[in-house]
Amino acid sequence: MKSTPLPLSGEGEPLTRLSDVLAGKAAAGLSPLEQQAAALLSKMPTPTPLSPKSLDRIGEAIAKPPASPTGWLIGGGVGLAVVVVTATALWPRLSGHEPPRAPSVTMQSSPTVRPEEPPVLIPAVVPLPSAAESQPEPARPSTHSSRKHVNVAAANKSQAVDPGLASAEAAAVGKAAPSGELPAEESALAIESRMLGLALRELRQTHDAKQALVRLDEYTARFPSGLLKEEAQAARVDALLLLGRRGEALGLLEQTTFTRLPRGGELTVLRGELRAASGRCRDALSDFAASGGSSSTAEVAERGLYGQGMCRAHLGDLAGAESDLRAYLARFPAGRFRVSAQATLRNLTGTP
Amino acid sequence: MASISEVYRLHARDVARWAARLGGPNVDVEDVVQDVFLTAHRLLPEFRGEAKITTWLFRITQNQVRHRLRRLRLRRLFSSSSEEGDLVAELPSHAPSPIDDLERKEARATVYRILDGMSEKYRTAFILFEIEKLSGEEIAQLLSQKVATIWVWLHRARAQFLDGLEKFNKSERT
Repeated sequence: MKSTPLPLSGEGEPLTRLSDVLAGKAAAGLSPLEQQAAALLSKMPTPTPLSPKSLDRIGEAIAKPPASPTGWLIGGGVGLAVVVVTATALWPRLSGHEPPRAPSVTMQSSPTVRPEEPPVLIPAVVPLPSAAESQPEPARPSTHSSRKHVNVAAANKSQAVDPGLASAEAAAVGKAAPSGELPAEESALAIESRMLGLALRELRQTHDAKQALVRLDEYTARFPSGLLKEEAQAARVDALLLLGRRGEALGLLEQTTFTRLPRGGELTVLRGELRAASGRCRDALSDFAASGGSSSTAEVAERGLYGQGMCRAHLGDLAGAESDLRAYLARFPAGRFRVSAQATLRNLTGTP
Repeated sequence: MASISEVYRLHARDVARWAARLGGPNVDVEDVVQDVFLTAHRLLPEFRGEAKITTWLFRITQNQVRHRLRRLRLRRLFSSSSEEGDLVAELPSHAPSPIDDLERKEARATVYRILDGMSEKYRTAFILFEIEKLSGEEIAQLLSQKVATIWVWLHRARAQFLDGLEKFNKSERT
């Protein structure tokens, strides 16, 4: 049995909440880590209270007589045993710490325990549908046929062939030039397409963003000025977002110009959203403004107009925010941000 | 002895708030509330008033939330889901949300990811103190512990949380 360590000196003394310290004069005394923790905790949203409708529905459900204990014991007992055995076997892997003690109030197995329910498979990562639709296909040399000679010298700079890529390259070259008659630059582009294709396959089919980044690193090392460099950078942004590395994704979006890509507008509005989410609404405004052009898709225009309105509200430009949000609701009456836009408008105008 | 309807009327909102705080973003609060009161309905005849009704309901809520979090871990294990999955769901590009909410959602996802790595008693005490803003005395009452014990737990919980945050930062950098 694990023994409880004795309290150290000062451990029994009352504490001040981290968020209270951050807001007070003693904030300077916090370590950077404590300041980060305090900032995170102070941003925690307030739970949404249950709606009157939900309260009524639950009230009706519990007003019925409770199920007979024998009924649920018979019905769920076998399955419960399975779960207990499984959970016991897996517990060390799942929790990483000792199981909690049984509560002092005796809890019989609840009828809401649904041991017969099979484990639900959750996708490892959520794909990026919009990105997938507009990403380049793994190999599409014809798209770049007019440019393929421009960067051939750069593409051919590559010296060593990574053994791990040998088969991919061989397949690419073999596919493009089965007889070996195509010029060298054609083969280089085929290799480039193939390498990017491998990265995109990791990203979109196996949803392994880490492996996609490895593939993209290999691509960049081999073709630092490749013809498909922008496509590779866009794929890197997607992979970083899937890994939750928003800061790096934003950094990349700020370093690279994607206007040539079909999804350039989407990446611009994404940069605006990431800037806004990191508190840089002023910078985000230019991105949102750029997304309103005639070449923008409806989805990009919607995100841009909404983002612009919210950022203006955040910056105190209430008239501008009101104008944008009204324009948003007029243009996208069934838009996905309509509820939030309506709520913000009500706050701005003071109407109930 | 109060009827279950009376108990529900008086405490449903408290239970909903506890469920949301203890469970975090992956737990269906309405579902927990219903199951807490169904359990309470069944056990009410055995409740002799040795503990305060709020303490008793809090324990039932804890158990319900614990059960759901375990089931969630099982599902993740069977599906080999990455830990990043929860964060990914918060991304603006494919789960758009009001921009003003983005930081709060991201903060919540980060905080609960760290909390999931803490031992349960410290996690619970930490949530009640730092997030739910209860006093040491109130927490002691809910958890049926001495106030001095709660302060010890909170000191250790803070250390665990900061440790978890440091690990989270490192994982973000790599």
